[in-house]
Amino acid sequence: MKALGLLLVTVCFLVGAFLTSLDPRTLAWSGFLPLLLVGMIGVYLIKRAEHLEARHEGVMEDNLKVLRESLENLVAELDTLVAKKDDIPVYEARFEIDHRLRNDLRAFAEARYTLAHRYSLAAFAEVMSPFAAGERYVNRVWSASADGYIDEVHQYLDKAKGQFHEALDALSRWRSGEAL
Amino acid sequence: MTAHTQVIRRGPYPELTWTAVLVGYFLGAIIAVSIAYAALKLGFSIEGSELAAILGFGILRGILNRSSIIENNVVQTIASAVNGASSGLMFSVPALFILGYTNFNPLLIVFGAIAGAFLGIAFIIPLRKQMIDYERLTYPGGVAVATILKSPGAGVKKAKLLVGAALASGAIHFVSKYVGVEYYDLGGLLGMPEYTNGIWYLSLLTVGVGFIAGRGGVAFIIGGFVCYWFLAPLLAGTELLPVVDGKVVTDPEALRVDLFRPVGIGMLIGGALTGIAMAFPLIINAIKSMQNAARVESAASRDEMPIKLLYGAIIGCAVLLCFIAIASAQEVSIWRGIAMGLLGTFWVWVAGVILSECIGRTNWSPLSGMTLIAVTLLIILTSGLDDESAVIAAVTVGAAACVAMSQATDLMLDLKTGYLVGATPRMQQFGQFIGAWLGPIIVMALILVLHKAYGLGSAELPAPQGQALASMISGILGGDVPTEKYLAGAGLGAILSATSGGLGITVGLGFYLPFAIVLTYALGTLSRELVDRFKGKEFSENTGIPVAAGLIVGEALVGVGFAVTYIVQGV
Repeated sequence: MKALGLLLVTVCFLVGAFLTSLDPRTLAWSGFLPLLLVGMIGVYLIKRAEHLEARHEGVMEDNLKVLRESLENLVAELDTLVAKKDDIPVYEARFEIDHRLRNDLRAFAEARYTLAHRYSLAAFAEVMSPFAAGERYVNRVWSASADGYIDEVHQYLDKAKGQFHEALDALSRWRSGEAL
Repeated sequence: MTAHTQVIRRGPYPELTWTAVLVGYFLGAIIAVSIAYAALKLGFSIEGSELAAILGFGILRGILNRSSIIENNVVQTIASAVNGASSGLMFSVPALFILGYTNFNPLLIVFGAIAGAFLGIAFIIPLRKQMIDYERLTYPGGVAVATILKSPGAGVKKAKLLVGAALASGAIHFVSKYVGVEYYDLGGLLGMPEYTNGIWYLSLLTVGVGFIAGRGGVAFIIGGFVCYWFLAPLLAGTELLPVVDGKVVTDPEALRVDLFRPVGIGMLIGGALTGIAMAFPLIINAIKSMQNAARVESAASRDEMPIKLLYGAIIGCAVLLCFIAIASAQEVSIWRGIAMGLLGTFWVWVAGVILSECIGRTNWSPLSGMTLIAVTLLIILTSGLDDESAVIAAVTVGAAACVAMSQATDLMLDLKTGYLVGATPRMQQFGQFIGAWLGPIIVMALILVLHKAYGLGSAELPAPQGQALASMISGILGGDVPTEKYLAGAGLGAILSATSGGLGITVGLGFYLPFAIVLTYALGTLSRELVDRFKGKEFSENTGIPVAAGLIVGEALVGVGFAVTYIVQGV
């Protein structure tokens, strides 16, 4: 179904683009409008297929697992970093961040749209807002560490931790809501 | 870093400081004058963030002995906000001189541009969450600036990669500008038909941008290839290429301007409107999230500018724009002025989204196309007035809209940089407001001085962008508007964006821009794909991105260097 939808959209686009290129000013609308209809049918088929695909348990569960695990890892790593922050030399903090957090940040970001597909756009926004704020705080810790600002490093490690806890809580709420 | 430089610093991390503001003004004024002059002389304008970041780096760290990545980020935010007026005013105001309609009020245009700048900033701020936090658009230029800013802490290897690539890119661009060879017709050498347009843009900056954008730019490439490697051969094969004066048109630039670009503009608009409709729930969620955060006074809410202030700014600037439209020409009535102001305001929002998406996905913004649509719509609203009043009123409001769009894209680019270095959005947003008022004053003064000295549109100062807008305005006044192609393009853009978010905009950009850029850009995209596949994503990020950022920076610096040289020669 998705392949057929893509084919229809491609045909609509290429033939439509050809029709628009025939004259610098005018267009044969009698041929162009039916093509747009073909494109709309294509879009419908693609969206329907994507909806079904997104709800496919295997893919969905894999992505949800990535989301949950990466967020849990981020929270655990930040808990550890915050607990021993006084022992980390300020100029080393950025290397700790790169080593401990970057892979999970990337993995979560790549799987993020599953939240919208599985739950809703509201769920997506509710989890992504603190996640993005947390990532930005982590980036600030990196910058402050490169410049040697120790108080800023400590303060923003705490703030990042708070944001990722919030993101994990939001994810858990949506998961438990679904389970009820 | 050596042990003696590893000072442990206590207290707050400097961000929006008086030093940052003053250095930002200083750099912004220099860059705005340089780039504005280059735009009048050569017809190109450059986004000034990279240069501001490098110069800010030198001044803050080298001269003032300061050490804060995020303070330098505010410097480049303010400086590029000052410069935001360059492209906005350089594209629109010179058209009035070239058309001979000099009976306008420059102060009104300056006030309009300042109101427009604030409007563009206020409109785009609530979209930060949606485009940067949720959609995570790439913004290759923003990544390049972040790479520069982070270089003190990124280690010697990355710094070497950045500087080495910048030197290579700068050297090649210098030679290319010096000998006057900026394009290479490889297609002609290989015996390809002229309409397939095998001309390459000799620009490592473009390769770097393609590399950073990665797969995000594939649709842009597809758009270009569809035009010149599918449609043009198909038209030639069926003997349907346009014929002018009995001669078949095969010149790729003529095909672009007459056949593909109007459809591309339509696709940008249709794609954007569909994208807005589809992302509307997410935009609402982003705004709600800002409102909720403001209500509970959370830590994150202190990171954002108060949403009520933004609403106030939007309303205030819209009212000001209506007033400016009414005052722009004696014949403009109150109701017509209000209609023009509201249309300008609406267009700033729509075009701000289009341009931010374009620059976020590919690093190019079709500012001239969006200004053209704004001026076209505004001239339609002035129907019934004499030509001079209609054009002066339309360009006065159009210039404000153009500056607004320029500020919106610049801010979004800077906010992406800010995200990557951990800046506070509120500080950057204040920085943008602080810088935005200065640019219109500087650039308008420059325009008036240069016009008095040389005459805009003369051989000395051809103002190519102004000439392009002037000829388009003449076409509009003569009823020569490709409305059907805009509408058809909008339909195609809407279908593509409904298929996948942003697709209509990016493919439309491929229709809109010269194919030479697309070809060179494709090299960057292909390199990213190969490096990702064979060396891994980590290698791409740790080695490829610093190199690509260096390619962008080197060429941008040489470009501005040439602009400064032109100024010195002019003096």
